[in-house]
Amino acid sequence: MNKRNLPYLITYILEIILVLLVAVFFRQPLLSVLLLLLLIMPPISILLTKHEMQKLSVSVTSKNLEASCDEIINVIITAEYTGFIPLLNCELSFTFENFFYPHKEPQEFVFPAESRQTGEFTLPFSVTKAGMIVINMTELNITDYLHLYTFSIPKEMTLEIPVIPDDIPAPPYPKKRTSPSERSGEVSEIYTKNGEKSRDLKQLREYRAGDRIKDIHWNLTAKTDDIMVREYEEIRELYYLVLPVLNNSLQKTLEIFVAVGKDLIKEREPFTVAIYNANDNTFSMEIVTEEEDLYATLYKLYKCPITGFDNAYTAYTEQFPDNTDGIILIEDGKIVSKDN
Amino acid sequence: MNKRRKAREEKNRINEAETYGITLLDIKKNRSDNRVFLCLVRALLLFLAVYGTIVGVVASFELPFSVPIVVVSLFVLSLMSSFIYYNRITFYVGYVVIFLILIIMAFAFYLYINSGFQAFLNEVISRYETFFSIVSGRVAEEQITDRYLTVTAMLIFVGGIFSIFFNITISGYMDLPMTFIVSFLPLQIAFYIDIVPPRIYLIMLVCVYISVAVLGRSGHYTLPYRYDVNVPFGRRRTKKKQTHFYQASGMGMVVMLLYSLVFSTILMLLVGGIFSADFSTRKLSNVVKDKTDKYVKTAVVSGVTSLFNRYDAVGGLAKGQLGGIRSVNPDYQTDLIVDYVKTDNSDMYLKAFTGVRYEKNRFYNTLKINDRIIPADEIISMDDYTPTETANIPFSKMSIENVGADKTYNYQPYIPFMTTDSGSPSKTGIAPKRTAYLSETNPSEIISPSASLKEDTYETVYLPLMGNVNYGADDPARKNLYEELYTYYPTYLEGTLSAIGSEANLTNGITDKMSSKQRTIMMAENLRKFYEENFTYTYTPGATPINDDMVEYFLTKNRRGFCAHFAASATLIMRYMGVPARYCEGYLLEGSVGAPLPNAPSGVYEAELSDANAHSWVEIYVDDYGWIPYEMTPPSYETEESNRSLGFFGFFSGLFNRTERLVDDTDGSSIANALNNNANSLTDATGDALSEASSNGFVRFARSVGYLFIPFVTIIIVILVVVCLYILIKRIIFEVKRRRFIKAGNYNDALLLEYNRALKKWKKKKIVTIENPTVRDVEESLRSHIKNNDRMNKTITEEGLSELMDIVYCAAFSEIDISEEEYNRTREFLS
Repeated sequence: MNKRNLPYLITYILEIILVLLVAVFFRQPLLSVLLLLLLIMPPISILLTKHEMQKLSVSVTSKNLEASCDEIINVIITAEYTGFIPLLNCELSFTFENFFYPHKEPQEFVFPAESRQTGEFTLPFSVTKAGMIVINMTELNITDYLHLYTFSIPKEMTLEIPVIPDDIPAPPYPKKRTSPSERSGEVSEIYTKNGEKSRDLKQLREYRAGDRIKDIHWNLTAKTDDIMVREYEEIRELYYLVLPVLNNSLQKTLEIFVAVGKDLIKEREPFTVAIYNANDNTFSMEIVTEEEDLYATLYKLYKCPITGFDNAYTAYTEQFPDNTDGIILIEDGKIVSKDN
Repeated sequence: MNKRRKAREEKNRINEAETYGITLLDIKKNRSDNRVFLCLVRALLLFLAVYGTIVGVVASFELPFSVPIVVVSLFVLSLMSSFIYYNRITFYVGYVVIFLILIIMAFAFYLYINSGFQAFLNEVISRYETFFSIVSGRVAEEQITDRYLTVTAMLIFVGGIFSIFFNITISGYMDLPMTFIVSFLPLQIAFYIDIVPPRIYLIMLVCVYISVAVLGRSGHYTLPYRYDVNVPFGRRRTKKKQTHFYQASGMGMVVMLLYSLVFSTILMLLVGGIFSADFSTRKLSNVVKDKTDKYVKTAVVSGVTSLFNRYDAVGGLAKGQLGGIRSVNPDYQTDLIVDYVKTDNSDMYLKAFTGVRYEKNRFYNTLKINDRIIPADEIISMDDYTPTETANIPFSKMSIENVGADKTYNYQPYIPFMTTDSGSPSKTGIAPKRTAYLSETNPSEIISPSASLKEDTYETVYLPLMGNVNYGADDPARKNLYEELYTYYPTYLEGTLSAIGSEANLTNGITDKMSSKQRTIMMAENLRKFYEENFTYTYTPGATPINDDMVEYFLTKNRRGFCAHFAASATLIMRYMGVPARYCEGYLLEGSVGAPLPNAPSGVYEAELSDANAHSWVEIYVDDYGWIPYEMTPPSYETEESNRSLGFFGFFSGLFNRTERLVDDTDGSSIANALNNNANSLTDATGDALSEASSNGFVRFARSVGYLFIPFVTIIIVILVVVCLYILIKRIIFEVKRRRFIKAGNYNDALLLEYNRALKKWKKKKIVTIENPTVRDVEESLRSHIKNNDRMNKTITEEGLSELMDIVYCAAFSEIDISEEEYNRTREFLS
């Protein structure tokens, strides 16, 4: 029983009482039949709903895996119903929000499950800001035909759709550091999975999920039944560290972050992104060598809590006092130089 | 959605997008519902409602009409009505168009429609007259006598009007109570007198009720014209949440309508027998039914408009308020408890109210003389004489306990009696006396009335027998005062009173030789006879038109009424004839009422008086006697209306008062007798139940509403039979399948059959809670259940379970056939 059924229940009882009174006073067969109808309809309605709701399956998908600002994200709710008697009150509870702008206003989507039909409902979300859009389905409520009882089925379904910031030209950023290989005059040609330059082959092994296609050793693969990939020695020396501070001018900061990232990738400069977690005052370091990594890092950034970012740079210098050169600090929607 | 709302919604979305970076736009559906289709389905629903109601009623009275024309016309009208809600423009224009069509139709086919309506009315009145055994004499004129034509025209016209009503209740609100009322009230024309419309119409209506209940309560089928046609989902924003709801589902509506039709047909087939069954308990009436009957009879006799007049029957004390009485609240409880010494079976009056001045529809107990208002107490003190000597007068004593009567009055007992010294006919109701009261300190001392007597219980003395008491009528000053006060009547009634005086020939038999008192009594007797011969006593006198005077209407037009009508009019007629008279109200303690008071000396009786004993009468002033009561109300064959009239607090108590349907005139007694016989036969059926039942309201009530349970019993039996058959057939099918598999040596399928059944059982017992479990899921669930369940632990071990579930797994997924032994072992476990 749901609280919202109460008014319907009360009015239904009043209707029964009214017909009962009239039936008692006027003793007409029609009233007797109506009374019977009023009394047998609730159990029929509830039992029928309980029985038919088993034949309803609801799924949520999205056509967009990611979106850019000012794009429409279409979320499709598919209600597949194999029953014969339509369910007129199916209600899906959900919330939607951009992680950066929390707004968990409960939403209810009421749809009909028509006899032996698959209903497709498109929920178009207009997104205007970069961030992680989270659409969270919580519950499927199915109310009986007379609105006297509501069956609740937990439906935990979450869709996460990242919204990429607008493309802007990368603003100037400090280019001070040179790589060890550059310093020794060697040319770096090979990038490891984690973005480090290396020429030392560590081993040849079977392909694992997540390995880059360019690392596949095609010749060896052709000779063996398995896909073989090259694994290189990792050299943990990077030239740039990008520290985005997500406080003021958040959107601009994200745009610059992506622009700088892309620029560095274009320059074939792998870099580290320090993502600050204000809750435990820690940094997670993400190494970016190509756009795929950049967006993966961006999505991680989208999910981190944005409060307490004001102290990000201070915290970084405290935790990594020897590693402050070459930091690209993006704060308040611009690149801030702290080298001085 | 109107422009303002649309703009507000747009603004909200922009705000949302700017603040939160995301907003939800209009939800779309893969198959949008066509509004035309929706209106068509709605038209079908409207048609069923209109046709079921209007044609159902007309068909009940077996009036001829053209079915195809009516069907087509009503469907077109329903279609037009439903399309009113197509969009905003059709909404604003549609009603005007339909009204115009109906008006044009009314003008063009006025004679046909009117004659059809009159034909219907004539048939209805005729049936009602037969049912209630009344003769109204009302016959409407049918200018065109071809009923087939006129009734068809009338049906189309009335159907058009009802299609608008139903369109509001169904298309506009999809509201069951409203739809029910609109259809139920016309149907009552037939049902009220036990005429049942053909089943097909009832099926239609029940189908409409179910559809409207289901669709209405779902909240998605009102389809307001304000919504955009092309927007399938509406949006409702509250502070706490946003709701996105579909506006209508055309297919859903069609399917629900079809299911409702099937369901209502089955229902009517199952329990429809109740319509033709003759349940004698239905003939037992009750106070509400009686009251409604009264109004229905009034409407049949005097027309429906008479129901809107303000005059109503009087019950209890009206305090002189004769017109527009609506404040009667009989509670069926004791008003007065009277202990008295019974000398004979004479009736006794207990006077409460004395009406002095009559203005339109009302007697006042005050009088305005020379701009001075003389209050009631003063007038009474002028009237009342206290006997100065008590020694020679045989006073009787009465104790009156005021339980629920109006406490503003003293209830003064006095007795009408037979007189022979007037020289007039011997049958004259005259009371000889005034009331006096006993002194509290000295019971032998008689004192004048005082305010202190209006206590809950007081004792009074009265004259039980006639005696030669000097009432002071020989006092010239007093006599003049009486004549001034009590011969007044409104001048506008002079013509009526004069005409009645002549018609009644009140001076008939009066000679010059007669004394003044003889003349007075003779006139009163002539008036009483005139009433008895020319007027009818009834508790349903009909209504007094709102601008008419109650006395004038009673005397000149209606000539039907109850005690208040007779007493009020007689008072004014006597005044017109020069006889001082006054209107009285109080209680009538009939000689037959009352029973010996237990533990009291012999001859002491006690009676309980209720509103049923309220009464009105006249007091006329007779020389040598003073004020004497005169009973002008002719005898009746019915109970005074006050006995059963309906007040708010008496509403439910009336349920337990068993009454029979009564008839207005003696000619109709056959019906009353029949009903009496019927009631008696009921009594016979239950042995000596009448006396028993009369003392047990609940038993009577239960018996009288017993008919209500017949459909329930039928349905319960049918449900039980269906359930039993279902279980039986299911078991038989299962067993047949299993045996067939075993016979073919297919133990795998036989085991899977058993497994499926067992799985359902485990799910029901919540042993397995996974939605679509694999065999391994089931095994896991059973294993954890075995761990937590001691009882099961004894019958099977975890290893044993694994082995058995392996067999099931093998039966399900392996090509290897399981053996009979394995099957039996696993089956034993599964079952």
